[in-house]
Amino acid sequence: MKLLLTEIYKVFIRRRSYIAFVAVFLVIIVLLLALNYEGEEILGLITTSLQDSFSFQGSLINGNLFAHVVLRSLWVHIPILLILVTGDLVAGECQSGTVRLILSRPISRTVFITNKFVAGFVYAILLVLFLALASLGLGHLFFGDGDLLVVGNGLNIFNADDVLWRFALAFTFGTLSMLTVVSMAVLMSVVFDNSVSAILSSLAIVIVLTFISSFNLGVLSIVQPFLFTTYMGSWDSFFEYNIDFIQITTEAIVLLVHIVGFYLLALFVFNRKDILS
Amino acid sequence: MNPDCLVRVKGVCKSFKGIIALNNLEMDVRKGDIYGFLGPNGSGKSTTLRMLLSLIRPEEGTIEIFGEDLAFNRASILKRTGAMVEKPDFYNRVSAIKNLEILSVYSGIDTSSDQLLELMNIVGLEERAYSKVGSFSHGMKQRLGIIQAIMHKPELLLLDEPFAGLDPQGVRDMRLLIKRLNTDKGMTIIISSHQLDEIESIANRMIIINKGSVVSEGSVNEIVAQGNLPIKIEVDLPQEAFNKLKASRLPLKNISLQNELITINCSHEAIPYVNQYLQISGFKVYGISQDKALENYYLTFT
Repeated sequence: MKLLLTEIYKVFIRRRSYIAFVAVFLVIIVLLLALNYEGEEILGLITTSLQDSFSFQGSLINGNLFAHVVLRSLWVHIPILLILVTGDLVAGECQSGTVRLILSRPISRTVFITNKFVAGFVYAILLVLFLALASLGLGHLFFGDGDLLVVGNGLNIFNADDVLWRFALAFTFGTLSMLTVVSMAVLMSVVFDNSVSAILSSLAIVIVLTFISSFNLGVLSIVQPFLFTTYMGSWDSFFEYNIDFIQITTEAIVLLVHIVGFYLLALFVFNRKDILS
Repeated sequence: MNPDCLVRVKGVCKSFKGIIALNNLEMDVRKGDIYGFLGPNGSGKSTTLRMLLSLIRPEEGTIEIFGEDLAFNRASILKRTGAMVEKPDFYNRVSAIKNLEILSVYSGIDTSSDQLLELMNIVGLEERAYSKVGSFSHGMKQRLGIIQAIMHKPELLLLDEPFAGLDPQGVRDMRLLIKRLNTDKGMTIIISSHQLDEIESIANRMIIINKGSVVSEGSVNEIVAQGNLPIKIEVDLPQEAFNKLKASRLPLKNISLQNELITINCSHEAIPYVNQYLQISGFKVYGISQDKALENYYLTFT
């Protein structure tokens, strides 16, 4: 436990670890202002035809809508912020030479890498938790509660009292997809001896795989089910009327397999690696 | 195996991308030794020290430390080993004492702040204990590097270039500290260094390697005595003595006379005979010196 706490402490002694929190907070503030000044106008365009047929409880510009907008806006960028920190976890120690000091002590390489993974996971969970609390908290503080309007394939409207559990599950699934990104970044951090290479290669992987996941072309559609990037946006499935839990469970299993695979591969590489830095 | 043998390296080979770094390396370090590790850049010194710490794995050969095979008993061996490999790198954003606390966690030891301050006092860093390491000079980091290496009271200490970048006072302090750790704490110490004078003055045994192969291993005196080393002789009548030595049948090479000093090359064992010969021949011998004996030997073979 002391080893794990030390690894977590080391994550937070670096300034870059706070960039993600600051960035998320700034985006939330910008969205808060945008929704406050322009929200009614935008929403009016979407709901003009619905106002006659439905009666909405409270204002449609509310904390729930705000949190959902924040999630949609940031979910693409959170992986980038996470990679900036977790891609440096092992490579940074190699680059600075501190890995020599650590591995010339009686700690096993497996324990070292396992703690690095867990420290990365803790960081990702804290960032998602921060995102959840900040978006829901500030949203409700400024706009209050109300029904949630979700524009997707169709238009879904959820009662205010039917929303919180959906957010809870969406954030949980989102966390799982973020842990997958973290696992991949830590693996790259093990493969490369310098942070820049590890971070850039992780970003490149996410960009390329996201591209493959987004296009429904013959060959690409064969590999898509096996790519973790295909399920990065699956948190939005919880904002549908009929949630396909079997599909979501399958997707979660694919993500878990990726996490375990990245972890085992990182152990394999690191246990055979000569420490030359 | 010699029961006093603390480190035994046997037939170790390692190459990086086809370039041979170590070729059939053999070395024995005995308990209580200050063991000098000499060789030019790229000779394989750091690779060897990293192998002793299991940072690099050998392709062939075995390494035994404390009588245990390093490949199978890494953790138990490293518990009893301390090291400072190459330049001392720390977490620059935190204080010296916090760095030591972090490293003590990896060593699996509980060390109080008072104990750490006491250790820092040994190297004169106690006043900077709470300063960020990023503000430290190279010499200060080097001293902190020693502390992190000895804080768990190891029996074997590996120091890679401990004198590098230190000012003369720093070199002197480091030399005294290393000697004290050896004599007072009973640590066996392996030092790699380019500073031949330092190795000659503190090591009792040493190894010279070049291009990954052993050039020579043994006691410092033995190694120094192995070569035909240049000695300088000061006598009352240099020209006459020079002619006398040139005509003698003593095993001498490269006899020359410069600035009233005779310079000859001969083995360590031949020096008393030269002295005796000159005295019997009626010359007054004021001095015989053998400058930088180790350096000359080292330069011959590397």
